Amino acid sequence: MSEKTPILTADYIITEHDYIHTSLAQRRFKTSKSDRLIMNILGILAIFIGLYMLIFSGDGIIKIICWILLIAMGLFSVSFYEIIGPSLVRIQARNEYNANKEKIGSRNIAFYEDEVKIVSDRYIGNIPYRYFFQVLDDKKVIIFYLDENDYISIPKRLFTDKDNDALEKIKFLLGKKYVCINQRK
Amino acid sequence: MSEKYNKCIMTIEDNEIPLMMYGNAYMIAHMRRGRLKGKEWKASIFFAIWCGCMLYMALKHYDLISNPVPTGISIICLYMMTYYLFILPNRMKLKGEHIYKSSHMLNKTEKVKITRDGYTIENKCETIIGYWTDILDCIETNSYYLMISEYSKRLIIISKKCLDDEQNEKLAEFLKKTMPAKYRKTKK
Repeated sequence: MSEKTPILTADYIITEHDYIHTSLAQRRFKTSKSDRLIMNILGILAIFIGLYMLIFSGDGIIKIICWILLIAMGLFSVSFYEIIGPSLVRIQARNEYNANKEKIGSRNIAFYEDEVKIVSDRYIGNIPYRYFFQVLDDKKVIIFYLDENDYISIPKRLFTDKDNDALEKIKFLLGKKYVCINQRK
Repeated sequence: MSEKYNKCIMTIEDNEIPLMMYGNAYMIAHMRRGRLKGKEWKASIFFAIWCGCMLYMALKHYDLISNPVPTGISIICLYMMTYYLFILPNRMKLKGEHIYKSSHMLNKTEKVKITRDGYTIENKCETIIGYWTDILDCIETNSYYLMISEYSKRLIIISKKCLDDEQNEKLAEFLKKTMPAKYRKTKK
C-alpha cells in the first residue's frame, strides 16, 4: 500500500499572538472598504462642522459643549476602524485566549492533493478541499472555515520561502474559496 | 484501566440532523448561552416600562398628542418586547440554518459512541472526541438531545429518530446521571 505524500505539513500550537491575529483577520474581513470610507467621510465632516461652529458660533457654554461633542464623535468615527475597533478586538481575543488556553492543544495539518488531514487530540478530519466553506488569507494567518462558524487557523510563521510553491498549489486547489483579505474589493 | 472508561455504553448509528432541527437547536443553545439568554426577563423589563407609560397616559386621558414622550417610549418598549420574544429567536434560528447550509459536515450521517467519560462522533470525514466535563449544557427536547460543548463551536445533537424507546430511555437516564446539574428537559 503506497502512502500519500503531503504537499505541505504543519505542526503547531496556537499562541496568544496567533489567536489575536486570527480575530483581527476575521474582523478585517467582515468590514468592507465602503463601510470604512463612509465612516471616515462622516467623521471628517463632523470634525470640520464642529470646528467651524466652535470658532464662528461658539457662544454659550451649552453650544460649546455640543460642538465639542460633535468633534469627539467625528474623531471616534474616524478612528473606529483603525484604532478603537482593533484595540477592542485585541483585548477581547486576549481575554478569550487566557480563559481557554488550557484547552488549546497542538495540531497537525497535512495538505494532500485531494484533501486536508487535520489531527488534534480531540479532532481527526480528512476534509476534501471542496468541503471548506471559505479560506481567508491574511498577513499573519490563514483561516480555514469548515462552516460559517467553525474554523481552523494556521499561523504563517510556520512557513518559509521554500513553502511558497506548496502554498500556491493549495491556493489553486481551493480555487474561488481562497480569499486574500488585502486584495478583496 | 482506560478500557473501563472508554468502554462503549451505547452506539447510535445513522444520527442525521435535518436543517430545521439544527436551526432550532442553535436557537435553544443561544437561549442558554448567548444573546437570547434571559430574553423573557429582558422583555418583561420593557413590559413593565410599557405598563408604566400606559398608566401615565391613562391618567392623562390617553392624550397621545400632548404626551409624545411616553407615547414614544411605549412604542419603543413594544418593539423591544417583540424583538426579544419573536424577532431575535427567529433570527437565531435562521442563522443556525444558514450555518447548516454553509457546512458540508453537518448534514452527514453520524455514528455516535457514548462512553463513561465522553463521546465520539464519527462521520465520513471527521471524528470528534469529547468529554462530558466539556459539556456546559445538556438539553433534551421532544425530538433531540442537544449538548453545548465548551471546547468546540459545533453543537452536539443526537436525534431521537435514530433511537428506539429503550435506547432513548437509557440515554436520557445516562445523561441525567452523568450531568445532573447541566441536564434540562424542554418541550421546545
